[in-house]
Amino acid sequence: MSSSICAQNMHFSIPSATRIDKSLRRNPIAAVRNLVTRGKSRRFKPLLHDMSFEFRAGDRVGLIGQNGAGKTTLLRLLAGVLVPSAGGLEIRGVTQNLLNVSMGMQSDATGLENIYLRGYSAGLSGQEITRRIPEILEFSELEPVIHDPVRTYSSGMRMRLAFAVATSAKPEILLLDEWISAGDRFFVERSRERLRSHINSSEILVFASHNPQTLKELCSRGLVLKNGSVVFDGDIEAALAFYESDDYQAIELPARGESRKGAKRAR
Amino acid sequence: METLVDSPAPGEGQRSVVAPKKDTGDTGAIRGRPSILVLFQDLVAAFKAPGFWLYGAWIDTSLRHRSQALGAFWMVSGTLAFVLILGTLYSQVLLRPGADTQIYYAHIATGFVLWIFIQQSLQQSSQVYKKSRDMIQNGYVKYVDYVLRLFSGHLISLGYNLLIVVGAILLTPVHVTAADFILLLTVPLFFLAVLGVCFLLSVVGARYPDIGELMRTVLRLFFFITPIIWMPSMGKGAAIGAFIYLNPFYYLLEIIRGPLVYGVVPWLEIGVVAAAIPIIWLLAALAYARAKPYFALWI
Repeated sequence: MSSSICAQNMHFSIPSATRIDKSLRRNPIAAVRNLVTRGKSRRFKPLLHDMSFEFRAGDRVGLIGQNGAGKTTLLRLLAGVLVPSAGGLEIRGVTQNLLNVSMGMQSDATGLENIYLRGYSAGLSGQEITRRIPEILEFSELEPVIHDPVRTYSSGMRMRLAFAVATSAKPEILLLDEWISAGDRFFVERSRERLRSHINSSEILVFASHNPQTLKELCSRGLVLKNGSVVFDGDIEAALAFYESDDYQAIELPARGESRKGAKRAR
Repeated sequence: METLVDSPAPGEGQRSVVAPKKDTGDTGAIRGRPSILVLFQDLVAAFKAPGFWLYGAWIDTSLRHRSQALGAFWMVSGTLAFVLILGTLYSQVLLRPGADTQIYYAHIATGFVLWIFIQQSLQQSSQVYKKSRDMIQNGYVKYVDYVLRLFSGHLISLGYNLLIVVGAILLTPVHVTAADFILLLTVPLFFLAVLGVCFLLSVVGARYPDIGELMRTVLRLFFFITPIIWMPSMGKGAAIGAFIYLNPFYYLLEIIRGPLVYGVVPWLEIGVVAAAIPIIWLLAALAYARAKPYFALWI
């Protein structure tokens, strides 16, 4: 079965009052009331509006947009960390995610232990991980220090390690957030080669970045976001050109955080 | 119709969330709530693929003592000192003259070792999702695994500490009686109850960060009002009965300590724990199902 991602009129909002009524000390009554009213009196802040797109096997999608456009939120939805508020999202295929820099690495544990931990969390068995270790060491070039604690690694070394483990599982869907392009030239080159050899016709890459060069090299399709909406979907070159043009700035959308009619109060 | 075909277990290649279409009103609430069974479904999945939480528990234990010369001995030595020193002092202070001071060591060793396990598990489970935030936000959303990792980590420590219990029981000759067979029932009951409370607290603690602090205070208090240092038989009058019979931790400790140390089968206490377990797990399952889509937002 080939992998695919399909979103239909997907919305995502967060209950924005949680930070205020979260503390029992400041507002003990609200805490009880929320239990009773099932939180329906809270306000909701929409982050993504009415998103529809379909990614097919072989798509290498770049997410483009200014800070706060919703790139990371969209990646988290695709990773299953967040659940859409309305609309549909269907994902076929197992995802591998590199969404934050620490990637849940245990900084006191050794590099090797972190390989196992990440491997297990990717759903591999102990044997499968052991079989992949030589290849992971080769890509990450960490063989001499693999028994040292990860806290002694540079951020580039951590990045290489996480990237090597995540891609060694030959993911059906690979989700990368923009920090990955913070690597040096050599890392970007090597990771590009590795992605090329790993992304075959049955796999999907979704990559958020601000770096046009990396985007052009890695992606074939671009999804431009603004204030939580998809404003352009097409060829990567055209998407980048659109993002850099005045058209992008000119688009008027409900600003992020500004409640839409009907979404302001649920009741 | 709203359905949720659950989070991506490895090997299970499909995930779909279908929520009501826009025309039903974008209320903003997260749709596609899991059914009440989701805690048990997640548990089954976790036991089918235990690699992450077992390895994680081992790493956590190993890391705690890695750069120390005495290593795992620290786990045991603190408890040993506590049992020896407090045992010697309080057996003189609390017991009536002429009473059997020997059995007091077995009493305090069993009570204290079990207490550490209960206290650590409950305290940390109320903050477990917050502590695992990096991994959760990176997409590892098998929330059950985080609680199991913590729980089995404390099981390892409990295993080490049991050496002291065994030592105390051998040195203060406590006789093996027929009552010990009931341990085959009460030990699983004990762990089931504690694990259920862990799941419940993990959900409540994720929603209300204050619960972590509250647990710290409450558990400190309960260490003193639960018969760990003192024995129920030391009490005079009815006032003390309230501290024993209204105290959930008393029942938990007694179903193991009764048969093990005193050679009695505490049917009442076993009954109470057995009755509480379904209630605890029902509450945990309800809370977990209700809260699962929100964990990533709360932490």
